[in-house]
Amino acid sequence: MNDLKERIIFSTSRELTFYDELAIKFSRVLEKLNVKYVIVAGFAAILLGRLRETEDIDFIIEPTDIRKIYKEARKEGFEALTPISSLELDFNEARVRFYLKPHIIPNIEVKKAKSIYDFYTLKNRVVVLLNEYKLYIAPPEIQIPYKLWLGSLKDLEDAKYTYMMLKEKINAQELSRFLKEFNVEELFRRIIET
Amino acid sequence: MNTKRELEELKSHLRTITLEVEWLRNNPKEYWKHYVEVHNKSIKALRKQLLENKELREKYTKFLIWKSRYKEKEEKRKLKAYS
Repeated sequence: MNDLKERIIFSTSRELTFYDELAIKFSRVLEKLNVKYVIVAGFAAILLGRLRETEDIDFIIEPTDIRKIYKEARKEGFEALTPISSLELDFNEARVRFYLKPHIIPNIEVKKAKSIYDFYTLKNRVVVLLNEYKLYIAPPEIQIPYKLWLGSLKDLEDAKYTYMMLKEKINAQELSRFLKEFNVEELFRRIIET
Repeated sequence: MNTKRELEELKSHLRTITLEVEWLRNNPKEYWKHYVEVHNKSIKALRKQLLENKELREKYTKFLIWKSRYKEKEEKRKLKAYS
């Protein structure tokens, strides 16, 4: 399950929030089933200390049997926010959401890895140590260009924040490669480097 | 463009929304009470983390300064474009 060489990118200790507990609990379900995951988007920035609101925690996971995850997650108190009859369909074609009963918000949104960028993110995931817990987030080298490419104010702020927090730990060559691939080099110079 | 995939994504989205709306309709008070509680506790814990971690606090301050300046700059740019 563990990568040969894990890259610890951030370490912090704090009183755990409901979001933290939700993420930790769901990541333990995936780890139990040996399913590789990575946390992306808003909650990844929150894990790096950003004071920001979110309604869901986004996970990208490797292709797997979603029904096995559903069964294991139920043992931990989760329920799927999708009709059980369409679990596979939603997992293959869209997203599957899980919530901790009885409250459906905030919840976990699970996306199956499909693109080469998803698989790069899984392969090169980095570690955030939160108290004694280990959580995997997307590598900043792809997360920053991706957020710039999305382009909303919230995304640009996340990109800037991630860069400011992890500047010294970023692989400049990899970052430059993805800035080019996402065609956001100019945006990076204008917003992030200033 | 993959129309079949887009259609399935849309259907899945609608299924999820239907369940969410149904739940929210049945539990409005419970939802808001829980969400506000969860949100407040989360912000409180994150603030405490900032207060206790000097390095994080310094970086965060720089980020907030950038954020204010960026918003100001963008607002001016948009106003100029409209005028």
